[in-house]
Amino acid sequence: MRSQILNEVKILIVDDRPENLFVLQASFKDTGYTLIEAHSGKEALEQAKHHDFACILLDVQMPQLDGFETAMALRSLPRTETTPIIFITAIDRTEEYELQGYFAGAVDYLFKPINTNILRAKVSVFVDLFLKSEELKRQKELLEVALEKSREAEELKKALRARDEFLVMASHELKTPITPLSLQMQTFIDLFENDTFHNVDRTRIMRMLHTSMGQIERLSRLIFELVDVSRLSSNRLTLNKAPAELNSIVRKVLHDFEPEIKNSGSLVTLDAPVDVQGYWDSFRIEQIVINLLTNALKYGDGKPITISTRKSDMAEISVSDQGLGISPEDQSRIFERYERAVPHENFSGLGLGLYIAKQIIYLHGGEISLESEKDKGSTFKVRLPL
Amino acid sequence: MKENNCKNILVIDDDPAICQSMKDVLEINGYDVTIAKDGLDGIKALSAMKIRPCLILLDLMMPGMNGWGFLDFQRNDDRFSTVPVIVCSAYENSARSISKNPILTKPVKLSSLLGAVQAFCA
Repeated sequence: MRSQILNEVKILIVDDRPENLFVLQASFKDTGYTLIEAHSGKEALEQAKHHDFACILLDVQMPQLDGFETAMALRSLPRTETTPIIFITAIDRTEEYELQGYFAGAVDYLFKPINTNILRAKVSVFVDLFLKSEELKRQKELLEVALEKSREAEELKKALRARDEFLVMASHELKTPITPLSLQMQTFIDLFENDTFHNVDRTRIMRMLHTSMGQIERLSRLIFELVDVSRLSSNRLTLNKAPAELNSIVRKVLHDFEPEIKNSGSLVTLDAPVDVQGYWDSFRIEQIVINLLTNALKYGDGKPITISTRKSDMAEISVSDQGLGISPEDQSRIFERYERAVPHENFSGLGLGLYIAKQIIYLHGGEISLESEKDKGSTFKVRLPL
Repeated sequence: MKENNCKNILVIDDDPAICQSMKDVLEINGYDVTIAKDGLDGIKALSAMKIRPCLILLDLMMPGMNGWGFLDFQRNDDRFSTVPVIVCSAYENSARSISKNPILTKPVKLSSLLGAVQAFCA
């Protein structure tokens, strides 16, 4: 095991004389280290780009790049930035000379003729250091992988929890319209079976049929929202643009939502001084208006609601209510998927309306902004290219 | 538990379609129904009714005062504490944990609604 690890230990030996390299090779016979030879400073620098060395043995006297220059260049390469360098020199030791070596990045000196035992002992210290730091590196990498895995698992868990919560909420929303539908249809069946239909007031029957129809529309809106959200998250929602007029879209929505408006107690006024022509997907623009209006009805506290349209370099539509308002900390998250400023227990809906509206507006190249104050009301303003 | 000849029922639910459809189908079946859109509205309606109802059908999750809030009030008010309440919710566990009476799970079927109502109203 240890010998296998020692095989991976590489030592760079740099000397311009082949016989010196040969002596060094012989000195490390049986150690198991891999010795890589370089015959010049330039070759040493080249090798330093390709290997991680435990230690570098560097001859000082070489033509062209000498040992000191080579050492300084090695220090500037990422792989040899901190690799221990032992200078080998035949020159008699002078303090100034030795100092120059240490400045160039040497950690030690060996003088020729080399004592093999001392050489091996010195190098083995650096090899041990190298092996320990490699081991640390490996452990750090393992730790990072484990950390990344646990982070991913945590995110996955969070996403699953959000999806589960959404499914509970969505199924509740889908169940709600079933109660009126089922109660009324069964009542009609009973009335026909007992032949007692004629006992029931005609206006009551009409109202029940309208309520049932309303529930069917409500169910289909919910289903379309679910489909839209899945399309949006996979970028499969496409626009069918055609010339359209904004005010007529708003008027249609106001007509379709008469019962809901009446029920909310809010008075809704449309302020539309001029026609606003544009090139949009009118079905999707209608959806934006519906989502903003139904929010205003839901959170408007029965107080007046104003829808205004304007035309400048862009088309503008804003929906203002004087209801609950949205606190600053909630204002950024309400455009996100499944988010709402109030708990689901208190208000129905999938929490998708503003998310879908914002995405449709972005697909048109427009923008949506919000001004709101808690307990004073909210104004959502949409700007669309013409 | 039954009050003689009482046919008055109070329905408290924030969903207008549920309120209206319960009112219509129960009235077709011979009951008198008052509707309220949340707990507070329910208390107001209860106080204004000339004849005490024989039954309250109560939704739990509503904006404003919810079903729990209403029960808190109703159970502690001598005038109304004896009026039976049937909790009517899509969340079966919440409904069961708060009431000894049978509950109605949404979506509500006509047969369960009429069965439950007949148990308390003449």
